[in-house]
Amino acid sequence: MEQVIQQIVNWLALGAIYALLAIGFSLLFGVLNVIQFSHGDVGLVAPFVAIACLSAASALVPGAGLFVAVLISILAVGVLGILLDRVMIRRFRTAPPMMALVATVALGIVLRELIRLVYPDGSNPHPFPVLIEGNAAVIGGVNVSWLVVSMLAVTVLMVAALTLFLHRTTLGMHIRAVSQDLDMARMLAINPNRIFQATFFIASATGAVAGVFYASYIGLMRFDLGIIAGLLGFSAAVIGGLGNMTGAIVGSLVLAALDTLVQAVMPDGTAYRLVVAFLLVLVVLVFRPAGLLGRTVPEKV
Amino acid sequence: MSGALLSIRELTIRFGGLVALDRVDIEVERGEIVAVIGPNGAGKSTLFNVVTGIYRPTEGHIRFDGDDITGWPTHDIVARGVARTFQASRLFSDLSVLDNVVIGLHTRTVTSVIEALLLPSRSRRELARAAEIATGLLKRVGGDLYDQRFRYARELAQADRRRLEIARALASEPKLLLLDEPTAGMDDRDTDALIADIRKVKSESPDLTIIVVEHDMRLVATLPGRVVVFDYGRKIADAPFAEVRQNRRVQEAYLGSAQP
Amino acid sequence: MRAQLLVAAVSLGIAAFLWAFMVANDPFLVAILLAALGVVFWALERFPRLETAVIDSFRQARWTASAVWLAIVLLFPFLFGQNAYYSHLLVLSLIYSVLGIALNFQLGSANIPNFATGATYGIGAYCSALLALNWGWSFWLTLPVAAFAATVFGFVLGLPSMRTRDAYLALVTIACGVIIHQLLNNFEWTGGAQGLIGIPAPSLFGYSFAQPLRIFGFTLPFQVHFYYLSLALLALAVVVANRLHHSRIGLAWNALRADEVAARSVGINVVWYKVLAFAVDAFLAAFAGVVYAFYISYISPDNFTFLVSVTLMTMVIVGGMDNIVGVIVGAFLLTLLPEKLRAYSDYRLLFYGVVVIAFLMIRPQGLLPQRLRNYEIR
Repeated sequence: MEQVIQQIVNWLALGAIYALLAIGFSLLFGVLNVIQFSHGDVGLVAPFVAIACLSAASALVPGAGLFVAVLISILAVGVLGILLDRVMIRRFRTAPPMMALVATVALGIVLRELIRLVYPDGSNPHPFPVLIEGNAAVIGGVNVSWLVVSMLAVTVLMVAALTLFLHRTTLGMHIRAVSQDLDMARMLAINPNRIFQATFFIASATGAVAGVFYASYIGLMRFDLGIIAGLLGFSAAVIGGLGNMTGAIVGSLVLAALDTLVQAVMPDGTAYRLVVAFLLVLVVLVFRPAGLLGRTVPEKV
Repeated sequence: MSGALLSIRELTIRFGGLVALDRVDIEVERGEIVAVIGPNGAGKSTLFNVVTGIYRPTEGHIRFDGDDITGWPTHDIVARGVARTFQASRLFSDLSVLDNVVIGLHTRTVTSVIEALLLPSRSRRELARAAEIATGLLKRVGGDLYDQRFRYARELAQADRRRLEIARALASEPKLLLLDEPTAGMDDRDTDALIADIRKVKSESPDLTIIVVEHDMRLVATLPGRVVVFDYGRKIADAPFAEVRQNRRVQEAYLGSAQP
Repeated sequence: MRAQLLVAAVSLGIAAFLWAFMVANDPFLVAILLAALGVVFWALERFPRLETAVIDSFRQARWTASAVWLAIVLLFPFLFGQNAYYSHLLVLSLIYSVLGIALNFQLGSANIPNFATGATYGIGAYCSALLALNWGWSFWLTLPVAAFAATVFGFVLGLPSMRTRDAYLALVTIACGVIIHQLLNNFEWTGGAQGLIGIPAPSLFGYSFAQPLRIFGFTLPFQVHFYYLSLALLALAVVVANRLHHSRIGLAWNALRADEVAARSVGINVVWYKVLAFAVDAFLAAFAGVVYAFYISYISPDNFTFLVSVTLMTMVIVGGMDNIVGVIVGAFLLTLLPEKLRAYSDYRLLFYGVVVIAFLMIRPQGLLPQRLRNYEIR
C-alpha cells in the first residue's frame, strides 16, 4: 500500500512538470501555429538564471533569496521567449512548417550549447536546492514533501489563472481570437504582434516554472536536461491534443502515469522510460493523429 | 441503374454537426456539360472533394464508369479517369510549368522503382515522351504557356495559372473533368478566354464529360447542358439554364425570400 | 574544345581547392580559402550565366568530364602519401555524403522531416557488426542483410507517415530514433552502452583491408582501402539518386513536396511514395553504416543519436536541397570545417546550430539550390 501511495505521489509530481511544459507547447501551437521545439530548453534556462542571481537576491532580500531568484528567473525566461520570437522564430511564421521545425530544433541546440559554454563549468551538473524543505504530511507511511505539494498547488493555480485569463480578460480574449482566426482578428484591429509577444511570454514563463520545479525535484541542473524534458513535454501535449489546454493536462497525466509505472514495475525500468514514453507517442499518433482530445480538422480544400 | 458516366445516389457528408451534403442525387451522362451553382457554402466544392475521394461520404454511393468508387482513395479514382482543378489553383509552385503538366501524366506512365533503377534509359525515355506530350498540351491550351514552359509555376499570372491547371488535368486523358470555379478572380476578358478554352477542349474531345462549379452566370449561361443548383447541401434544381433562372426556389436561395 | 577545357579547368580547380583546404593548418589560410569559396558562390549567384555555362559544358563534354574526374578521385589519396589522417577525413566525408544523399530523398525531394536517419545508419552498422562478431560473416555478406534489415525498418518507420505530417511526422521520426538508440543502449547482446568492438576489417579474396596499400611502388595507409570502398558506395548512391530523380518517381516526390493534396489529385499514391522515400533512405544509410562499422572497427549507440540526424540535416540544408552535388559539397564542408576548427571543437555543436539557423533564414535553398529539370526533346 505504501508503494502505491509513493507511486501516486511520483505520478502527480511528474505529471505537474509535464503539464506545465505541455501547456506552453500547446499555447504556442494553438496561437502561433508554430511548434517551438526548443521550448523545453528555454524553460530549463530558468534554474541557471536562478542560481546565477541567487547571491545578489539573497543580499537584497535576506531569507527569501531563493524565492526572489526564482521569480527573477521566471520573468527573465519569459522575456527570453519574446526575444527569441523577435530575433528568429518570427521569420518562420510564413515559411513552410518544416523549416520552422528544423530551425527550432537548431535553436534548442544553440541554447543548450550557450548555457554549457557561458555558465561556469557548464558541462557538468550542478546541484539545485530544494525550493521548500521538509515534509508537508505523512500519508500512509509515505513522506509527502512540501516541494511536491507546492508543485501541485502551483500547477493547479497556474492552470486556473491561465483559464481565467484566457476567458475573462481582454488580452486573453484577443489571444483566443487570434488562435481561432488570425485574419479575422486582424480585421478587428487586434494587433497580432502584441498577442504573439504576450503568448510567448506566458508560454516561456510557464516553461520556466516547469524548469525550476524539475531541477528542484531531481536536485540538479544540467545544460542538456532540456532535450528530454522538452521532448516529453511535447509528447504529452501531442498525446492530449495540441492546441488544447485540457488535452495538455490529460496527456501529461497519461504520460506521467506510464512513466511512473514503468519505473516502478519493470526491473530495469529507468532505462526503458523513454522507450515506453515514445512508444506511447507512436501509438497515439498512428491511431489518433490529432491526440486523445483533439479534433481532426478536415483540411479546407 | 442507367448507363450514366457518373451516378451519385443519396450522397451525404457530415462534418461533426454540419451537414455539408444532404442526400444528393445526380446523374451525368457521357459527353454532357453540367454546371453546378449555388450560394457560398452550399456544398459545391465539397461535392467535388467527395467525388474525387478527398473526403469520405457519410452515406450514399458514387458510381463512375461502371465501378462503385465510394470510399476509393483519390489516386485510384484519378487513375480511373477523373481529373479536377481547384478553386485556389494548386500548382506545384517550385517546379516548372512543363513539369506541372508532366506530373499530370503520372497515371499514364508506368515505370516502377525497380525499373527506374535498373533500366534507366527506358525510364528516361518514358519521361522524355511524357515531356513531349506535355509540351503539345501546353501549345493546345492557348495563351502563351508554351513560351513560359521553363518558368517556375509560381511566376505565372492568374489566367495562366488556371490554364496550367486545366492542362495538367487534361494530361491524364480523363473521362470526367471537374472544374472548380475556374473564373474565380478573373475579369471579363479572361473569362471570355476561358469560355473559348472550354469550348475548344470540348470540341477536340467530344466524349469528355465536364462538370463546372461556377458563380459567374455569364459563363453558366453560355454553356450548353444542364444546371444543378445547390443550397445548404441539397440539390434544389436540375434543369437547363433558362428553366432554372425562373425557378422560385433558386431565386430565394440566392436573394432571400421574395417579398410578396 | 572549349567545353573540354572548361570542364578540365573546373574539375582540377575543385580538386586543388579540396587538397589545399585539407592540408591547410594555419587558421589564417583556412579563412582565406573559405573567403575564396564564398566569392565563388557569390559569383555563381550574381552571374547565373556562369553556372549555366559550367553545367552545359559538363553536359557537352561528358566523356572528358568522366575521364578527368575518374583520374582525380582515383589518384587523390596519392597526394597525401603516408599521412593517414587526411585519408581518414576523406573516408568520413564520403560516408557522410552517402548519408546526406540518403536523407535527401526525404528532406530534399519529398519534404519529409526525418530525424531518424541516425537510427537506420545505426541499424545497418549494428546488424553487420553482430553478424560478423557472432557468426564470422564477412563484410560482403553482411551488406545485403544489413541493408534489408534497415529497409524493413524504414518501411515500418514510413507507415505512421501515412497519417501524420510536418511536425507530427518529425516527432514520430524522433520518437523512433530515440527508441532505437535506447534499445541499443539497453540490450546486452548489442554490447550496451559500451557498444561492439573488434569488428574485423573486410578482406577481398584473402587480401585484408587492414594492411597498408602497396601499389605502383607507393605505400599508402590502410585507410585508402576504405577510401576506395566508400567512393564506390558514393558512386552507387549517386547513381541511385540520379536514376530515381530523373524518373516519374522523382517527379512524384517533388509533387508531393509542393502540394500533397494536388499530388493526390493527379493520381499520385502519396502514402506509397512517402514510404518509398523512407525505405530508400534506410537502404543507403545502412550501407553507410556497414562501411563505417568495419572501418572504425568499434561502434556504440552514441554514434547514432538524434544529434547525428540533425548534423545530417545541416549538411543537406547547407549544401542544397534536392541537389546531389550540393549535398556532397555540404557533407564535405561540414565534415572538414570542424576538423579545421579543432582548436574550437568545444564550439562544434553551437556552430552547427547557428549555421542551420543562418541558412534557413538567409538562404533556405542551400548553397547549390535545386535545378529545373531538363528534357532532351527531339
